[in-house]
Amino acid sequence: MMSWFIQHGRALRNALTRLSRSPVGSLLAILVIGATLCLPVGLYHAINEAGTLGRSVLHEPHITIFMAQDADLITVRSTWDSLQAQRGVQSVRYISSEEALAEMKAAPGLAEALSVLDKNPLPHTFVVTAKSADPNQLEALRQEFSGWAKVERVQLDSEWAHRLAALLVFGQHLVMGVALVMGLALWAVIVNTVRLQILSARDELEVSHLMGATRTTIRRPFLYFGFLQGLLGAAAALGLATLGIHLLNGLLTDLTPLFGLDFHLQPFALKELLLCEAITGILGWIAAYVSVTAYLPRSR
Amino acid sequence: MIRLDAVVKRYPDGHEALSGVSLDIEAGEMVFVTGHSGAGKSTLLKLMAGIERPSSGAVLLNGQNLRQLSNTALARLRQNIGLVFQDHRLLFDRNVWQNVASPLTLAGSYGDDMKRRVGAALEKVGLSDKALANPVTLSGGEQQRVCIARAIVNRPRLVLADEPTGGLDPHYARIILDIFRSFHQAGVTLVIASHDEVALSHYATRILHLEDGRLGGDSETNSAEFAT
Repeated sequence: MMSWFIQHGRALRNALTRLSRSPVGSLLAILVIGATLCLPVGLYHAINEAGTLGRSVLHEPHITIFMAQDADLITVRSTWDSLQAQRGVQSVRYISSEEALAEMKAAPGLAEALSVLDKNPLPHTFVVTAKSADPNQLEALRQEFSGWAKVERVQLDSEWAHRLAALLVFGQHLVMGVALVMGLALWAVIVNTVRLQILSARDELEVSHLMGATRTTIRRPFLYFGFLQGLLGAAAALGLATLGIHLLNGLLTDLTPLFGLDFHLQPFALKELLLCEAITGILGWIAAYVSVTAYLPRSR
Repeated sequence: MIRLDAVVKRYPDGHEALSGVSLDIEAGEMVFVTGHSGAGKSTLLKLMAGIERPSSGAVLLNGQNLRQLSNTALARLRQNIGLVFQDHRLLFDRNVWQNVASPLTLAGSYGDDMKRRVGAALEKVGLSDKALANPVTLSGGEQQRVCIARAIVNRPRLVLADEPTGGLDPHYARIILDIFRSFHQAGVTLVIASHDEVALSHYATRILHLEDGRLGGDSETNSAEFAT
């Protein structure tokens, strides 16, 4: 058992020696891997974060009911009563046309524009908070309210969140595609780097073979080499993506308040960091295995 | 210890390096293999070491048919054979100590046991003071002695040497041959490919003569120097 650990320790040291023997070449290879992985890693993280935003909006399912311009107060009262009686409704807020106009007049720049109108163009409005965020139930409520007397328009406020969710599903598929292509590129980079290592170590490998090294023994340092390249490449990718998140957050601080949102990208969670390192390390190991199997000289 | 039975070695280009060679080498023998360049000496040693496999026939080492062994089993078998090459095959990015220790690292040896064995091997070839030197700074004869130390560091019962004195001046050649003779006296089996006249006339007790891949002669000698 001790011997097993020593053999693996030596293989790891050998791999580290190979990496440090040509620091510039190793650094460039790691940067190539990092830059290649940065895009899918960053996109994946951004899409996850946007999904969190969408879900938080869906937790507050609002439906806005705009009454017709000619709806009298009796109809409005009747609508209010009907809404209160609805089982799927949590709460209702009524905004009269006068209140809406007063709010608009308070907005800078709009007061002057509204003063030229001879009558209030705004309808009476109900903002309904539904009990359930289930899209099907919300749609059923929307359709029912649309059929009521003097209801002009019913707007599902969380509709954009559903559209966002649909977009995110598309985005996730896109990221998967990008990740596959970039994974292939990463694979090619590591296969080629290991191939070059094998070519530059021909003499050493030949001597090891003659001294009685098995293929497993000869292969092992190269597997560690691929694994380390994957790990370091992933670390570079995560570093670059974190830098990207930092820069984007600077822009989001100015942008999101315009949409009434308080949103910024969170840094990578420990689970995400470990998952990325593990996947890339294993990918590096497999790529090195393929390269070694293909390029190690075989005995005759 | 070693038996070859009607061994044929044919390379992919069609060249037949050995044609029906049969021979027996007993444990403890010191056998010289001679013949002109291309006669098949190196191929014979490679087959005995399991570096190559025969096209037909059988190579038996301690009763094991090497042809039937897997590549991994052959590699493990080679860990117990000392190999000496004319071109030394030393690694110049490592010092003498590390070169000599390389078979031990493959065998999983470590710590004090490794230090003791490498120290003993270097002492045996008279290079204890060069342990930390880079092989590139050594003379050809010293490099060959490093190669020999590496071959014996695992204490093998069989040493195969391919032209170990080739390219060395008579003084160094004699040092190398004296080292081999001391191994022989310690009971190690040696098979040495050589066309060094000094070696053949002063050190050989048995000479196998290869001619165009065939065994042309197998003679016992009575070396005067060896008897001393």
